[in-house]
Amino acid sequence: MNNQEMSNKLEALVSKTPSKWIEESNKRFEDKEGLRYSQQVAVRILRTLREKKISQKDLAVLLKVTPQTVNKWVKGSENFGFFTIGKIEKALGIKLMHIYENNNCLLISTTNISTIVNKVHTYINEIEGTMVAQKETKVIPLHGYIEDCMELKYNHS
Amino acid sequence: MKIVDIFAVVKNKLLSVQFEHNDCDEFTLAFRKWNDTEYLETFFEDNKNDLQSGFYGAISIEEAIFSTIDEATEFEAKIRKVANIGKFETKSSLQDLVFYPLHKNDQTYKLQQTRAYGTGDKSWLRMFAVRISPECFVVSGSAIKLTGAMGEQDHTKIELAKLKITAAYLKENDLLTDDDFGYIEIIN
Repeated sequence: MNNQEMSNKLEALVSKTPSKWIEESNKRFEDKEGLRYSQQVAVRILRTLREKKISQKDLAVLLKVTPQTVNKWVKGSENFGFFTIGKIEKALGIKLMHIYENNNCLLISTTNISTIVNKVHTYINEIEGTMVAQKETKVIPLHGYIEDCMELKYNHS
Repeated sequence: MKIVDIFAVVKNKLLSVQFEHNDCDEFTLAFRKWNDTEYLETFFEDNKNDLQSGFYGAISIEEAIFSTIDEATEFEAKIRKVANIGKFETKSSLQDLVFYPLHKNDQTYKLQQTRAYGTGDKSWLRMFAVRISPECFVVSGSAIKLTGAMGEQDHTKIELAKLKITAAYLKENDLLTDDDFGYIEIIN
């Protein structure tokens, strides 16, 4: 069968509507970052339910929502609201969210990342320099080294 | 199990069948499942022994879930690239990268097999397809393959049956002369 024949046969057989994958995939890639948060929350809920032997139905009753709503949450594509997150946290006794405050955490921007990286490189180079120098200049007999270690240990204890 | 329709993911290059009782084709279904945290959590819990047998090293359920999602995303990105290019003749093509024969002793695709096992990567995502021309595949299903050989687990047995139904459907429609089954191994 040549390419043209195959192409004609496919044209006749294949649906005129394209695969749903195209639309669903576009959505997944557009919402990539948010989707990851949703999946993380979903997995945490699922693992907690399993650990505490609570069914999705039980959670639905606890939160006065339908079982379908809970099922949507655990599939990993729900766009949760803060109030919903708060209610789930309370019902399951877990923390799902943490907001970082500026004064409580180290903020790493792209500019100071390069500064940090440079400092680390300089430090490593310095250490490596010392190590090479030691290797070249100092020969320590093994028994002497063990004795030194023992003495050090003894002095510390 | 009956095929009710066939859809194009990439025109004339990557197609996928839809089985009755489903609302979409198998290719779409694969990515839905690989992004569905509830499905993945249940799957890995049900197959905990296989998961932790050491074939893929020691791995927790949570790690398995996110590793699946990450691999699926990478694979999907690759397909999106090919779909945008619209042809399979480049080095990034699906055919060049990821299609391997189901039967390991099949000499026809020896070269591709060598490449598959030479990468050292350990992805467990699989797509099953019938190859109707050197550049055209029809996806019949997908699986997360935690063991060495095809058919060892129930869910891969079902996939084997779906592959045969798809091949028969393509034969009926005069699109397949030889039995050319295979699976698309995802290599990132």
